[in-house]
Amino acid sequence: MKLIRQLLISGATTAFLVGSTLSFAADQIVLGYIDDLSALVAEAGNDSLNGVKVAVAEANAAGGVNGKQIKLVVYDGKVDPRLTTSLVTRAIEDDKAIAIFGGNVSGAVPGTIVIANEAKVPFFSMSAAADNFTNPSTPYFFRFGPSNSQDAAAVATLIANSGFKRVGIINNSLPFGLDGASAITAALKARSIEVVINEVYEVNATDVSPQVLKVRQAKPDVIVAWPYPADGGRVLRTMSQLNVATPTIIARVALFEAFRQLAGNAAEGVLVPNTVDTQRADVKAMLEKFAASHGVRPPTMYIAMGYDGAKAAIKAMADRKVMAALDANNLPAARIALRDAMETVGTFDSLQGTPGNKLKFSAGSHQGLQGDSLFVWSEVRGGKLVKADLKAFAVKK
Amino acid sequence: MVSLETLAVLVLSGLTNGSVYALVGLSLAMTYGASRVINFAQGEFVMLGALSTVLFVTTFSLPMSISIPLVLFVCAIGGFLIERFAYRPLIKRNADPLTVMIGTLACASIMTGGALLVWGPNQLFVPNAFSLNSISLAGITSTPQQLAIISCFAISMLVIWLLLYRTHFGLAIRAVGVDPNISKLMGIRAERVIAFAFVFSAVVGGLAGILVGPFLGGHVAMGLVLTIKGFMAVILGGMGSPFAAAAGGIVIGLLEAVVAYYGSSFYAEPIIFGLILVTMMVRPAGLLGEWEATHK
Repeated sequence: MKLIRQLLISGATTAFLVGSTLSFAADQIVLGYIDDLSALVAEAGNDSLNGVKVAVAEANAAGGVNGKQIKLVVYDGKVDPRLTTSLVTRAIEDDKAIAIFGGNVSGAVPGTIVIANEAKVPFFSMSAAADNFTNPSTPYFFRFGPSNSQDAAAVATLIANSGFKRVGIINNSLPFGLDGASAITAALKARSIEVVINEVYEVNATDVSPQVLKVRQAKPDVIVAWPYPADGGRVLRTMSQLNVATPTIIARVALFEAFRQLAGNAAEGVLVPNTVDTQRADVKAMLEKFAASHGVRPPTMYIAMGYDGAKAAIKAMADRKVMAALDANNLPAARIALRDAMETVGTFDSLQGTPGNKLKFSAGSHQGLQGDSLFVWSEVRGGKLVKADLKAFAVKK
Repeated sequence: MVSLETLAVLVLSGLTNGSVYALVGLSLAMTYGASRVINFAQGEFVMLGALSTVLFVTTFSLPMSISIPLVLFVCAIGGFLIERFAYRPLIKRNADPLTVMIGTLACASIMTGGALLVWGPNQLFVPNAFSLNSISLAGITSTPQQLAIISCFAISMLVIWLLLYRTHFGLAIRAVGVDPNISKLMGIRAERVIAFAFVFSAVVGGLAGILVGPFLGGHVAMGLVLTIKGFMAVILGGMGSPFAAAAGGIVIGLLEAVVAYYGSSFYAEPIIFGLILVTMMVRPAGLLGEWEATHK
């Protein structure tokens, strides 16, 4: 009798849970966001997350996707690949996310790609820049930020146009730094520009003067630094300390306020590639909306790529096949249909690049940003980011 | 032939990095020497020191001269709390050293989580106590902040040596480290000595945080890496002695600088871990462990 009662209770509980899951799936769509929100890359992770939130809030305020409200589940994967992949799995299996956002930490992306492809869940990646994440493309991985080779092409073109001939590269030993340096070396080689030295340092070293000294001794006429924010500050301070006054280009991390504070006066005049043109009216409008809900932030590409990614996902979710699968409570089919819709819809609006720039996805390419009009150059002046004076930069040689 | 400038840069760089590792290492060794427990929360005091500087100087706009004692006081309270509410209860319940170490790891995690609530996830600029502008002394270019790190390490060593070898209290610390039960029979209040070691180590960690913060940036996750480096210094130099741990830290710092200049930073860590492995085989007590043991 006791056993029967227990079976009845557990049966009723199961029925309730299944019922609640079905009703949950029927009236809302779950998106997952797993990224570094508290460790070294947290500034990028939080900016992208808040960009996603702005787009989701806009969609929900407009009635959702075909009447279904979007729910965002958020987990902090820190810079830990194992933690990130287990949280991605949790968002897929427990939270029933139709797609996952994240990918500001390069080291966490390879494991995530494997899970996304095995579980057949679209993963929308932000700033992790290693080229091989989208070259060759894998079925469920889509990138909304520039790849290292795109950054590198922009850097190499600027160097070539400015007439510099001898380049010194200094980067940290993390995947972002190593892959960036490798991409820049290849881009410069293609333009017959010599890399006279490439120095690597450990990201947590308090002092990087041996590496900077070697760069100085190689006598480059331009230096390219590919660091994270804090170590970038140390590199520039050390350059100043060792009287290295060579014109310098630094990776997109210089967009972060932390970098500019840590570097202090040593950052004056360095050039930074950015995909966000703050002169664009639509960019200004979005940043104002962003500031109203999340506070004023520097106009970084991380906000823009989060917003771009969420807008693209929302547009693709409205696809007829995705909606049909969701209405039939067939989440696996909805995920596959969403992936397909990203390719078939193909073209999405973007806040990155020059006005009118579009994100383009196809069966052959999951790298959304394409073409030569992606970057605007910023320059650090008085601790702020201003539009770069490229002619003055060229004159420095 | 190495130029004088190159040599000076390498030595200064090695001493700067090494002093940071040595400060964490000697504070780890100080706690270990008294309690026979590795305090895995030690690096978090560097974090607490750096971020508390942000709190007092940037948020509360207090002058550095007032902020530094306040930061050290906050760290001292932190060290006291770990001893009172993690170490002591576990020891009273006869927990083995491994369990106590896991307890300190839990404290590290709690401190990181607490710091996340207070300071948030972003990397913060830590105001500098000394100038970050370059100065040249006898052809060697450095910054006052960099020289302060090295000086702080040297002064800490001197203070610890005076404390351990020139005071009765230091004798009590060393006695407790050898055998807390016998030292109790000798009338030494072992619990107070251990509490002092935790507090003192936390203050040294906080001091390291104040000095290294302007270079590394203040971040809630900065403690773990420094704990690992400090632990490497302790293992290489020798467990149980702050001086051996400090020597280990300086060796690691100098090795990093030399390998970075003549090779690549890529190879620095494998070389250092290889050196630690070889040292463990040849001298299981560390580079200076046996020497220190005979001079206790």
